[in-house]
Formats: sequence, C-alpha cells, structure tokens
Amino acid sequence: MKALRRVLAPEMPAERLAMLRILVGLYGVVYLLARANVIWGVTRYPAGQFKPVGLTVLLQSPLSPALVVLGLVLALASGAAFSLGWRFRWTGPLYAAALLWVLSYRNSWGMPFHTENLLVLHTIVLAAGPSAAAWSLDARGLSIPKAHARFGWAVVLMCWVTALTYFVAGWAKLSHSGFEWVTSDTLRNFIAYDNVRKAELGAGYSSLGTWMVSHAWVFPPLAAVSLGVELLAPLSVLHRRLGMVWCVAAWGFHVGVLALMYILFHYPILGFAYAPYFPVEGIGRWLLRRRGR
Amino acid sequence: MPAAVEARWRLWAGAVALAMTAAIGWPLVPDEDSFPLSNYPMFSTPKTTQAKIFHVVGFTPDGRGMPLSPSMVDTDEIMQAYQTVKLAIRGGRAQALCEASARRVAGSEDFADVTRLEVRIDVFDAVRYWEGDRSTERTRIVAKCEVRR
Repeated sequence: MKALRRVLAPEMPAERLAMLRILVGLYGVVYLLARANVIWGVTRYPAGQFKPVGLTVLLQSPLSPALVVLGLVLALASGAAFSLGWRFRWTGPLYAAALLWVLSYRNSWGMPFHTENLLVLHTIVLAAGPSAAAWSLDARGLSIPKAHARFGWAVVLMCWVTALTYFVAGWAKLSHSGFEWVTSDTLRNFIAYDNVRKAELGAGYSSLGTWMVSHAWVFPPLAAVSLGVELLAPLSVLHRRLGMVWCVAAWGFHVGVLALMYILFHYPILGFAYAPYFPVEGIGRWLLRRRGR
Repeated sequence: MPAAVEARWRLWAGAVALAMTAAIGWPLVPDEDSFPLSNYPMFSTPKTTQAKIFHVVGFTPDGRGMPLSPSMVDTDEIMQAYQTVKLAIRGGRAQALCEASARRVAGSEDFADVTRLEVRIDVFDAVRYWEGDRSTERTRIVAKCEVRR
C-alpha cells in the first residue's frame, strides 16, 4: 500500500505544480490568442454545419457572435488569473470550464481537433489541485510550503492523463483493426490518403511521406513502434526514468507524424504534454536566480 | 498536517483521479468521438487505398483544374475545409458554397485566371496518386458556378 502511495502521490515540491500551472496556463492563453480568428471564424459557418460535441451538446442551435466573443474574453481573462495564481480557488475551475467550453464550441463544426484534448485535460487537473500554493499572487508574502504528497498527486495525475490518452488511441486501433493495423498496409494507406486530401484541398503536404508511400516495407515497423508507444504509455507513470524515456519516444512519434503527414500536434511537439514528467520547477528557480542577480 | 485534513485531500485526489480515468476511458465503450474525450478514431480503422475527396476545384478558360485553398471556403484549416465541403454536399448546400467560394475567388489574386468552380467528390487511388497516376476512379460534380469579376 505504501509503495502504491509513493507511485500515485509521491512527495513533490509545491513549485513543480506551480510551474506546471504557469506553463500550461500561459500556453492556453497564448493558444487562445493565436487561434482567436479561428474561434471567431465559426460564427460565419452556416447553422446547418453545427454538430455539438462535449459540453456544447447542451445547445440546441449555434450561439450568437456576441456570446462567442464573451466566452473567449472570459477564457482569456480567467486564463491570465489562472497563470498568475490569483484567487485560484475560483479562477482555476472557472478557466478550466471556460477553456473547455470555448474549445468544445470551436470543435462543434464537423471536425473535432484532437490536438487540443490534452491541453484541456491538463488544465482541469491543475484546476483541481493546489496549484497556486507557490509562485502565485495568492501565495505572495507566504513561505513556500515543504514538498508534500498533496502536490505530488496532481503532477502524477497529469502524467497519467497524458499516458491514458495515448493508450486509448492505441486500444482504438487494436479494437478497430486488430494486429492487422501493424501487419497490413493500413498505415501506408492512411499516409497516402491524408496527403492526397491535403493536395486536393490546395494545402501543403509531406514530400517525405509521399515519397515513402512507394516503399511499402517501411510501414509495418513504423506501425509497430507507434502502437508500442501508445499501448505501453501507462507504464510511464511507474518510474521516473521510464517516464522520461517514454516521453522521448512519444515526442519522436509526433515528430514522425509531422514529417510524414504534416499534422502538427503542437502541445506535445513543444513539450508541454510531457512537462509533468520532468522537474520543471528548475525553470522557475533559474529565472528567479537570474532576476536576483 | 492534521489527520482530518490529510484524509480530505486524499479523498479529493482519489475522486479526481478516478473521475478523470473513467472519463478518458469512457469513449471506448460507446466507441464515440467527442471533445475533449475521444476514442481517437482517426487512423484507427482499416484503410484501403481508396481516397474519397470532397473539395472545390477551380477551372481556367483552357480547362486546367486546381483545387481551391481552405481560405476560399472561408477557413484557415485544411481539415475544417474538408468537413465544410463534405457537410455542405450532404446538407444540400453545395450550390450556396460554390457561389460563396466564387465571390472569394473573384477577389483573390492567387486564382486570377479561374473562371468557374465545381464542388466535387473525386475518388482517387491514394497510392497510385503518389506514384504519378492522378486520374480519378470516379467523379461526381455536385454543383457548378461561374466566377464573376
């Protein structure tokens, strides 16, 4: 039981969870700002295209443009408060809900973008944990608490959430296609198809991926590695070093997807998806040391 | 830390962890895609070489065809453009999409020589396509319109 507790809720510094709050919070705010034109752009789509997903199934019809803007402004404002750790008890859950709502709505027009799932899931975990106990406006003037398991559980849960999303994707491949997903031409056909779709929709496509389509023997080993990374993901939470090795493998998997299909999973490619596996508080301490010089 | 406080955060942490685990795993049960909970269906089902493409193609006066870029169907995203065309065809809005795209093409320098548009479903062999054979196996033209400048 003690060993299980050490895995699921190990003692960790409050600054690690705080740094994750800052990193994921800032990422979310910058992402919302960068995608504001796309989030706003859905207001031009015909109502017949509205296919609500997630929370937005509560809606009978599309929102008015004013409400779309209001949601975005609320998400940005609460996201800034979340990142700064200001009245986090309220702004944490508020931001998680607002981000979930805004991105659910943006994904409700026939095309769910899976690149945003993990950002939302990590934000929910951070909002549920004591993420503003250090390096926050709420904690101004207070001493930083000692390392404790009440900070560790949320970090481990973020790792578990990351791992689980990969496992679900791997399991879906097995349940839909069985091991034929590895042994057949499925991966080659997907890469060929996805690049045809891009070319025939007037967008850029992967020259490497399309060149490789003529070399069928490459794909079964690539498929085996991809499926292995996904199905073995849950093991990554068992041991710190194992987790780091898995992160490198998973990151490589996304680099491969980018190289062969021109699909950018920005959150993992930029390393944010794997940040909970690493002692990221070092970034904050380094910045504080620099400021103190 | 007092035992009651310790018990409270442990209970909360356990509840959050269980809820997140159940929620993320749940889409596998009904096999449904949603947001942010998904069964990640893309690239998981068996796939043949057949590629069915829903798109808008512009034509020059000499009959040369070129696919319109996503911005001509009012989005910056390639996948959203694909879905917009697909849903317009399935929803009986292909002619309206054609005419709206024609208005954007009329104002675009990139498509200055395009004089007419077709909203089409083209079926290619995706592997042969990249081996140099870009002919379609089947084509269905769903809507046509002129570009007026």
